[in-house]
Amino acid sequence: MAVHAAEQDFEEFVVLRSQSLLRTAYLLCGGDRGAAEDLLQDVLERMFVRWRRIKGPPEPYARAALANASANRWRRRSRKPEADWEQAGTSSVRGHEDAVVVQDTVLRALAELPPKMRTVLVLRFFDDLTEAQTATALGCGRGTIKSQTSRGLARMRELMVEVAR
Amino acid sequence: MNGLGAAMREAAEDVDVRTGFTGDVLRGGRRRQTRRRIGIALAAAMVVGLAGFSAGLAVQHRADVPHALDGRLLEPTKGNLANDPARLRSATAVWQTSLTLSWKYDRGVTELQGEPHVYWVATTEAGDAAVVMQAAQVRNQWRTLVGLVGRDPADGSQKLLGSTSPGDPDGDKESFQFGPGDRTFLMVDPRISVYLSPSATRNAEGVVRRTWQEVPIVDGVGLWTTPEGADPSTVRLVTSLGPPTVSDIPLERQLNTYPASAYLRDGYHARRNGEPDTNSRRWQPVFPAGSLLFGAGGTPPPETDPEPILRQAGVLDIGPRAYISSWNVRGTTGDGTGVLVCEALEGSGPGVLYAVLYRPDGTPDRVVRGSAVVATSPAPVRVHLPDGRGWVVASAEWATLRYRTSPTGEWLGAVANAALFPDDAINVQVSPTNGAQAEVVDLPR
Repeated sequence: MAVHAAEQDFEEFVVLRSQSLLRTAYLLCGGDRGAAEDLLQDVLERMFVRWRRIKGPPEPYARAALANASANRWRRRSRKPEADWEQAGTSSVRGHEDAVVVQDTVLRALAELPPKMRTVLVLRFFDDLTEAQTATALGCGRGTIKSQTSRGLARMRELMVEVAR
Repeated sequence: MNGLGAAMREAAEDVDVRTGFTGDVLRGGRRRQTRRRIGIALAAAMVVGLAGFSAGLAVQHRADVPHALDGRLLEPTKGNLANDPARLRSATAVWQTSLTLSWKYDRGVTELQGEPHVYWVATTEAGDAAVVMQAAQVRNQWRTLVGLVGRDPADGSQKLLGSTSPGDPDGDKESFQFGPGDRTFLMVDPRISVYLSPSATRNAEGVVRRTWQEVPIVDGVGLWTTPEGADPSTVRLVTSLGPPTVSDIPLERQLNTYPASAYLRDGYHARRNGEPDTNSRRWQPVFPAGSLLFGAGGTPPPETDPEPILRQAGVLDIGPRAYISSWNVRGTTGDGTGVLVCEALEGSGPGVLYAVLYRPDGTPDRVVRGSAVVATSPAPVRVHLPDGRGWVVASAEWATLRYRTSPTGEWLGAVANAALFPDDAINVQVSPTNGAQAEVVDLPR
């Protein structure tokens, strides 16, 4: 009975939070939609196994797991770090052309960043985590987050200018 | 809300889960749970079986091993000695005895999980060696500790010759350096190509050039030994999808190593391969506030950090760290060019003088690589500026500086501590203000 209830809780969590988590995964994967779905599914399946042992709210746990899995994904699973430039765009039916260009530029620039740097930027600016929360999620010091954020923002600026050309 | 966050939200707002995603997750989760239960049952059965004839080994495998953070912990041991149980036992024993309380404290390790796993054990040019891994709580995260066990050439005994420290920035690089002269490099397969460059060269402008070769990964590790007589401290390793083409390789892609001799001597505080010894080889002048002015001073400002400029110019090699002097000499030449002179110390070489030239609007224009710093000279700073702009000279102690343009010419100038002398100057006279004997130094061309 308890097992059944836990599974129901988990299913509810997946139904309610998958969209938001997938968007984080999408950015963590530099705009590679397929990789983002695989990453999220992998993390959620692992959470299913551990569900009753997860302490506290599951969403921060899921986001931290996504971030760590994403940072390690390049090393563990593939020789190809991220999506090709051609795959990195968003849907072309979205409407306003300028908006699509900006989205495409952001995704392309994100895809060019080293995985850990990208992860830090996504956690800080998309998930709105503080430096301390980001450091806890990634298991490193606040100094590392500070420097990765600063270098990541500088690199994003450069890349966005390059990509926009 | 911020600009980047808003742009990210815009970019991701159309992304939604596919139909059937929840069902797929539940089915996958159940499959994993079943596999895990079977795995635990098998492990328990093996433990019971092994205990019968292996009473000396205390098995403390916990059933709640964290999720497969690292699949390598479950893989069979690789390498040509993988089937030698004595080797496996000795590597594991060395690992366990090396992880002392202070070792763990330094690296933020609060709990070791399960048993160590020998990932690879084989014969190498530097003797038998083994890569050992173990899951651990490191600063509240489950991480995999990785270490290299091999022979210490100093006494021939098996020791832990290097280890990762995954809780530290850049501490998770699974690359090691060991054997006689620390000449052998070992990299655990990073699942991306590894490239190695044995040494650096510089072009006429001092820009660093390296050639790269791919290191083959065999049985889960890459191995490379520096030829005898070559300097291993100039070796650099990087991960890359293809041959590296730029000298500015991000730190994330550099596989730094700790020479085993340094690791055994200094432990956690060892210097990485190629990291300069800043205690003994740099010039440590007694300037007030770390900055000397020549001429009218002006640009650049005293707080200028020249390192990014030197790196951008390609005159600093990749590697663990370059030391850039806290002192500088700065001023403006007659044509309005701002100049900042500093010392950069890299690897095992001497500190080298660099002059950064600035445009009149204050933006960096170019970098000039000067000669090596001779810290014992009465005038350690002597840099020839291009295009007839002259010489920047600075003294080691409080002194009056003069120049001459011929071997028997009259001494001219008389400037305190730092000066910009004309392009045709050939000698500098350094007269300490404490009345000590004046000395004459050449201006090297």
